[in-house]
Amino acid sequence: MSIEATLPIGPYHPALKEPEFFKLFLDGEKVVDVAIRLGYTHRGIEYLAQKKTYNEIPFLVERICGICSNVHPMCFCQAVEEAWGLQVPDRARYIRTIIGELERIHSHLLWAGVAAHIIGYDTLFMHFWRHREPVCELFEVMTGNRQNYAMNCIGGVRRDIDPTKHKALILETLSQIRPSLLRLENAVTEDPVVRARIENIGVLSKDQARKLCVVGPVARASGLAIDVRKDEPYAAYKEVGVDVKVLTEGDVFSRMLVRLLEALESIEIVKRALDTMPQGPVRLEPKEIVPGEGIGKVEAPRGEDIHYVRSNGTDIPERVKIRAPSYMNVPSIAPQIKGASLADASLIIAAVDPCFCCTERIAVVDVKTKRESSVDFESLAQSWRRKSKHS
Amino acid sequence: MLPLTASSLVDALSNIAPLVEKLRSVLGDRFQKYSMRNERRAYVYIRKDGIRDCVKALFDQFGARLSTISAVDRKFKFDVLYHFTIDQQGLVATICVSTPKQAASLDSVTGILPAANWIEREIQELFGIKFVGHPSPGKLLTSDDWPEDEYPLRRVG
Repeated sequence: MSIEATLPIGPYHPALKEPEFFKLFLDGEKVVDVAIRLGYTHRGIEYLAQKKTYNEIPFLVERICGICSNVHPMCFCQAVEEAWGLQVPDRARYIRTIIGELERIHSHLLWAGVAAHIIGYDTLFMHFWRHREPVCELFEVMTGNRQNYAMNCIGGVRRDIDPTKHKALILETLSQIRPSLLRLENAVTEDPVVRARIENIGVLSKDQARKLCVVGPVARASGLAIDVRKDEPYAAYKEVGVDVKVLTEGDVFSRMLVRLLEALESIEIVKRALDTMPQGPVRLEPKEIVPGEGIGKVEAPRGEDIHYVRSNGTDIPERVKIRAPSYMNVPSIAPQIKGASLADASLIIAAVDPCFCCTERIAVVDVKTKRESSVDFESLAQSWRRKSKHS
Repeated sequence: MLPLTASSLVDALSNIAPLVEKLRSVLGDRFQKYSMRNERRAYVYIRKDGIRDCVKALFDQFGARLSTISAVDRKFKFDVLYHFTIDQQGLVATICVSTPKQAASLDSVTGILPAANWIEREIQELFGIKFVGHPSPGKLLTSDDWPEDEYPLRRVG
């Protein structure tokens, strides 16, 4: 296999929403390998968290990501609650569930829109985002913000959901977007052009998925039935229940379908949670800081989020370790992209829903290091000239 | 989740006992002790030369998934915690090893479990713990001109 050219994409590129760098190794139109380098948005949040008090950290970790901004504070609070042995009030657990599921709806719709945009179907993109908008507006009414809702605190949530006003508004919004989502799902599954573009593209086998420990919709599209909401029910998922959506093909189409089915399932979860929500306090005032360690786990829209907190009895944690889901999913781009055509590369990269703010670090996926050398423009031009001479 | 009470202790033991017994038989005297925070959280302390065998047993026989690895600076040593999730049981088994701060090193498990690739390199850069036998131990997070012997998350003094 000969390498004809390397094609750098990024770190600043009109097609990328966040700074990241992909170096594609090409043989003609075919992608042979990829090297990924992130770390352009590293903000040292783990270090900062070890300098702040427990009350300040939920606001800090909320700013890891603008899209799943409820996930990190919820996960951090759960880890601290476990370390300190706190039992969160029931109503707070339900509120966390509702906020988490509404967030999943708008995050999955955001991704579906981006995917539609990448395959050049901008009408579908606008429709997806149009139905995402009411969910963001709902958040604005309930929490004051479209993102960064600041709902979680250690021991519960900071605001209640109004049992009449907010409940009616949520139900009305969901009943409006549900038929639209079903229609959009049909638009994806029954349009032969869309299917031709995303079916059998970027296949990740079950075995590869298990070895790379991928999480969330990427794992569930490859036949791994893992979901923190089901396997280790936090918040109110034990009472409310979750129907985990699993597909086996492992291609971009499956990932699209899993996310759309999950968004529809989230609507049902929110409805069930609103119906069965108990009355009572939404927050518990922690009495003392107990030394110990705790692990928080939350199913973010992109997969399992995990926080490890070690408390030493002072008001500042000894260690906060954060691992966002994209950190496990981004390395799975490498096996998916090998052998794909260049035109599919951006779609494959986008299909793991990589959140670079979350991953926030790192890179260079396992590429054979000896091959990793960039080609300057002159030698690239020469190789093209050689190629055109032969043909 | 609340800490263990007498009634939940029985559930916790039945959830965790098979795993602990297996690791004890695989590791022999490299197995040190274990503790439970609640029925979903087990902490297993092993000697650092047992980490490869331990990871192999967890991945092959319990279908464990590596969630992440946390390193903690403890003044004279590092605690390194491998958080494994066993999804079928909803269990997080944390394998804890320690390495002295002077010439800190551990065996790399990337060869057994490719998912450890990034996180081992991250710890190598941020804490200065060398992962022996890592297939591609290059720079991951810090910029190319970051000094060799400066580790951002290592505590000074």
